[in-house]
Amino acid sequence: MSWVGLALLALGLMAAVLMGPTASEDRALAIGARIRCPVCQGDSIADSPSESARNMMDLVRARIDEGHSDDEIIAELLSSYTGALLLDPPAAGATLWLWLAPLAALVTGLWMIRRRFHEQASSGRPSPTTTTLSPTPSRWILGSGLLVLAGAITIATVGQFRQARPDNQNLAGIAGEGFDPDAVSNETMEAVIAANLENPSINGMRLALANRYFEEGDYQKAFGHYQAVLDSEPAAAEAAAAYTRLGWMVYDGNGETELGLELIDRGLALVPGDAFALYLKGRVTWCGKADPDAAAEIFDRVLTTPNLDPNVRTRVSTDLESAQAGASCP
Amino acid sequence: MFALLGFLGVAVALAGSVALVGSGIRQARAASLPSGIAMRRSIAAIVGGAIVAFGALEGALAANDFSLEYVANHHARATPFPFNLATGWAALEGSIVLWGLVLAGFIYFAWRRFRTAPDRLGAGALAVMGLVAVFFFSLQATVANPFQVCTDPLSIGCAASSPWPWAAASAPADGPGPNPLLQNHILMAIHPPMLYLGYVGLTVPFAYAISALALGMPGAEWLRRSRRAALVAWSFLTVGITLGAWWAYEVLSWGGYWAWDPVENASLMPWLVATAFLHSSLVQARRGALQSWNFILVIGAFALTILGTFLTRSGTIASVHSFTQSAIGPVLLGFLFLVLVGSFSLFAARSHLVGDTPRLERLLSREGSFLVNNLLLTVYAFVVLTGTLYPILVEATSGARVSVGEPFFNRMAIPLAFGLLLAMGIGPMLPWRRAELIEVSDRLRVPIGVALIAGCVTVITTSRLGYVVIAVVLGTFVLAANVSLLLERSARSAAIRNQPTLSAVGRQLKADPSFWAGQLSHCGVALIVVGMAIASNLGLQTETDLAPGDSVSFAGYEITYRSPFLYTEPNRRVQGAQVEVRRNGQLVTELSPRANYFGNDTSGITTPAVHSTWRGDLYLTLLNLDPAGILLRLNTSPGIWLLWLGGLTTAAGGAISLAAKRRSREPVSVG
Repeated sequence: MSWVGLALLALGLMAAVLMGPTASEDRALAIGARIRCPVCQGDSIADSPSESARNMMDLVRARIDEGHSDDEIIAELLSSYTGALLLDPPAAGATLWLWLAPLAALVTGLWMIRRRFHEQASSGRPSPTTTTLSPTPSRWILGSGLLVLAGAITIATVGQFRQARPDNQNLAGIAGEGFDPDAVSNETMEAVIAANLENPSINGMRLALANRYFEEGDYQKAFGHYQAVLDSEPAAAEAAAAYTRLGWMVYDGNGETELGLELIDRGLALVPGDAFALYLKGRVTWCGKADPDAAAEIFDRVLTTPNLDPNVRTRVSTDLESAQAGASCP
Repeated sequence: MFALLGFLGVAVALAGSVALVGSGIRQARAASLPSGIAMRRSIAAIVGGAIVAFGALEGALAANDFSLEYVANHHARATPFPFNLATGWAALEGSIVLWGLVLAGFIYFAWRRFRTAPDRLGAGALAVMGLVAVFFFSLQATVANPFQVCTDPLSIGCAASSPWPWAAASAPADGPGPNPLLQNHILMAIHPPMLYLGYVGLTVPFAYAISALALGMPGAEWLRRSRRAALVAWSFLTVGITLGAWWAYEVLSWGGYWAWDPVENASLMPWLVATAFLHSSLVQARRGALQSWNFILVIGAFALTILGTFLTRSGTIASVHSFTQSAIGPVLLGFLFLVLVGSFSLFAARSHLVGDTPRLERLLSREGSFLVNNLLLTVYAFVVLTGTLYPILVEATSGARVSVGEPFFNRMAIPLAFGLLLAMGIGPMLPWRRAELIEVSDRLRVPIGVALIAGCVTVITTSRLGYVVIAVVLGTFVLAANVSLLLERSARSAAIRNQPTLSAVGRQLKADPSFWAGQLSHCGVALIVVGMAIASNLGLQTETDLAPGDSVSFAGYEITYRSPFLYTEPNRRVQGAQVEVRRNGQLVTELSPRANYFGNDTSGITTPAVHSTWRGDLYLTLLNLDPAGILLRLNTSPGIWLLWLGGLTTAAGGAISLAAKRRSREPVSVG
């Protein structure tokens, strides 16, 4: 085949490709491929089989049907899902260097190769420029430059390693000493728990999340997590905390006084004298069983607990006084 | 018993490593050969100790000895063979034991090649390997000790342990078992050891390079002796990466095989740099150029394996592979720092000895194409490194959270891969020193024609997507260039002997086995690129709800959901859907996409069901299962088998080259 024939063939091919489709026609998948799924490490939401990724993909499809633009949909996903990140960082701002560095490396490399051959061509004989037989300042500059670079990378990475990770990507990192549950949203914790059901060390986080729901009064959500903690062969303290709060919730939510007391007692059997459990027991006895005398006795025991939080102490003292006075519970 | 045995093994291997450093340095400094007994003993201690330590760990797993903390927390009675043994490297401490064993093996083989003659370079290299061994056996003795005995058993697992094997041990009744992802597929048992053989093998070229620099002997000798180990390491890395991708495809149920996950990147970076080294070392062996560059590549490849281990094991980066975390992170980072600072200081101090005369005449030559290939490969490795570390660096400096994923890597890596294919097709056609454009273009005309025709066929029959067409054209170009080169050389040799061309093909292959083995690897890479382009651009995907008895049409198949199923195995419960696959009314196969529940796990590991044909795979993932029906994801992965075939072909090239070298007893045969 002649070169003319080859050139024509190549041109035809190029034309066919240029007139063909450009990329994936599925807009939802194209958007999904650019978003990192919050619960599954590193996968995009288009790839991940996890439930939250599928929910996010459903949202993407719904928004496309409503006629939103790609950028709007991505902005909404990033703002409404904690931990979702753009996998495709823009060539601007903090990620500008990410795009420039490889190009710079390529250009430097080309220049080095060119220099090697260029000098050869001009001088016509082996040129000693890049090689010297004695240590020259430029060699030392190169060496020290590499050292500084290595040092900088190391120091930066050490700093990173020392930080507690604020996201949910690394369960063990979060559940370790740096873990601050207040900094994590309920949804994030749910997601982490859902992604780590098999991990026994998830109990701590489960309990923290359940306690948060408990304090928010969202018993329905708290319930399931406490039960899951109890199902997973928890440590005594964890089981006690779960039983105690389950007890309060069945009383406060469903009005089941007897069952509530039984559960709290189970908690107390595991951690005898726990002030919070005792206080709840006192409340159930006072309000549920309408027995202020027995309740007062229990409140009295709470107050004997050493190192009691001053706020709790005031609250228990107030309750104790009204219970002793025989008042019905507020 | 196992704890004590393992502890002793580690102690003996550690002592042997320290002794090897001493005797290695002594012999490297002495001009005459001192008695080799000290070194022989230290090698015996390292190898014996490493075998005992690894054997003790596997023995404890096989015997369900839960008094070891490692066994108690990573093993379960119900874990079946071979996953019970694979648990030996499924978690951090055990993987370091395997690392030590592999390192001991490489030290042994390096010593076998060395012991015949007085050899300062070899002794120095053994001393460096001894230093690396000191580090890894120290890890096993301290922060990554797998032989800690359990002192505070829980009902399942162990809460506290003592590093002393004679401490009063009390064993829990059972353990939680390995991470469910790790006991879901047989490839999981195989691909990590392959990768370790690759990672650890790169210690050998590093050791020779450091020894050559330290002794002031930067000739071609260190290169000649480390090329073989580099080829071994590279071949195992290739197999390991291929099998790892295969595992991800078969287990992780997202229909893909490579996600630019940091740990995948950690294995790719040393592979890229090692590939660059295999090529640039040829330039030095043949033309004496690129001497400093080879040092940089070898040191870089070794540092990248340590960086990879750090990324995998310290939990710095979120990844499906960060199964474990411990105090090992800072220690590995310190070692990495030491390696980089030590090696490059040494390099800077000795660089005046490295004669690097640029005797290259013309870019259009074999060595010129190697230069281009090295540029592309190192820029590729640099892209992967930047993309992997960038999120950490940004977060550490500004606190902002960024994520660098597939879109970035693809945009950078695909053009580089295309450039490499082009170099792979043209490079082998070029003679050393200088090529004439007329001559080269004449030889390239036929391959280019074949490649363009293949492109036209693709456009007409399959797809007009740019990536697919370019990949097919370039891939075919590499294959056609190789075939035409082989025929051309055979014809020349046949003409001399006056024989038919085909009879000369076999002789041509045998005459230069290393070169043709390298070309086989090139063909493998071409297959990989074509397979990737087809699988990722031409696959279909949809999700559908099916009630029992419902059918759906997908990619020419009739897919019918028959019934759910549930059964129990000793270590897991399996819940899934029985699905019938028909084509034109004929039953093709029955598939059972499923979720596996290990231990107390309630979420389950979805395991896809794959029906493979040469046209492409049908890939079913069970997303949800309830009495009313199933939510099924359906994928097709056309041409994905090209990827597996290509990976194994690439590795086979390495293996054949090694075998050829062994037969010819010629350590370097330049191709």
